[in-house]
Amino acid sequence: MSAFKNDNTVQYGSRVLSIGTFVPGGSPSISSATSYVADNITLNRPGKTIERTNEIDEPSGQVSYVGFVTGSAQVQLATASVDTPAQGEAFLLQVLRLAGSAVDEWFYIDSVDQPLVKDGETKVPITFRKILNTAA
Amino acid sequence: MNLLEQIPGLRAAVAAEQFARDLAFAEVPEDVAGVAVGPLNWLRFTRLAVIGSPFICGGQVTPTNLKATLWLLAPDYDPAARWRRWRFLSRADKIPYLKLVNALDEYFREALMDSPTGKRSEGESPSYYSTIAAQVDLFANEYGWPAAEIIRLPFKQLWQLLRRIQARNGSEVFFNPSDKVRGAWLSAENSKRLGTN
Repeated sequence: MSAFKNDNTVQYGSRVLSIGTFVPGGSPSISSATSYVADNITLNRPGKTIERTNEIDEPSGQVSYVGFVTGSAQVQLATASVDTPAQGEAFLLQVLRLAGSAVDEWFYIDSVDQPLVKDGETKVPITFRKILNTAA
Repeated sequence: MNLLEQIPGLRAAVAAEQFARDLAFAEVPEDVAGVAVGPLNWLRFTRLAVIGSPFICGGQVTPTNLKATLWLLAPDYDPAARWRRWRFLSRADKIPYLKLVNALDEYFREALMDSPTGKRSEGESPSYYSTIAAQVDLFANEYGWPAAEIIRLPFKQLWQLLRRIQARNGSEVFFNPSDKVRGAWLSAENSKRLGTN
């Protein structure tokens, strides 16, 4: 695994997400998708660093690797009768890079919080993780 | 493409709610169908709840409870001021009944626009203090304000400050009136998708 040079937490704001069953393959897709509006999408790209020290514990080297990419958001349901997203369901997120180009990344939902309701609208906090093996 | 460009009508709805929020701090006098009233706050809300106003507690609106509601919202309300009450309500008597009901509905809708949400599967748990006590405690603790000031703070300001406190403490789920526009658009999108599947 190649080392990386920065880690960051990036706010991606609000998007429409198509959440459904992940279909792996050369060109992954989502089946039985339902649209949700997701607010406060936050992606976290942590790093993991291995430090090396000499015989008197002075730093003598280090190497940093990318960690697991995780995120969180609050999704709004179209109506109260729409199912809340389920653990294991997935979605595609176009992630902006520094140069302005967009990269497709696939994520699966790993936790779904308690739905909140006001004036007939329903929102559900979720957390998700990047799918590392999209081909199978 | 962002949501404002993607969802028709969302930009106007967001602008309207933002305008209403800014206006809350402009100290513009409020009125109900042309009758001057004070801003809704915990003090007025509690008085309305005590008399069982249908605009707070639900139920049938009648001329009697409508007048009682209006009088409790009067800027210079005083339970002992009978002449002032008569003069205030005589102004309201000149306004068509339905117009007053609709204007009051709008007054309460706007005042409660940013009020906190409830949890869908909220369990029954015992309550040991009122919501007002909880909010007085919160604002007194956050800003050092006295209770008398907190219960007189207009709801339109109080809810926004409450959201700031909640956001500062890590809560991120909030609702906007414009969520209805997003919900309607989502419904249409999901229907189209089902139609194409």
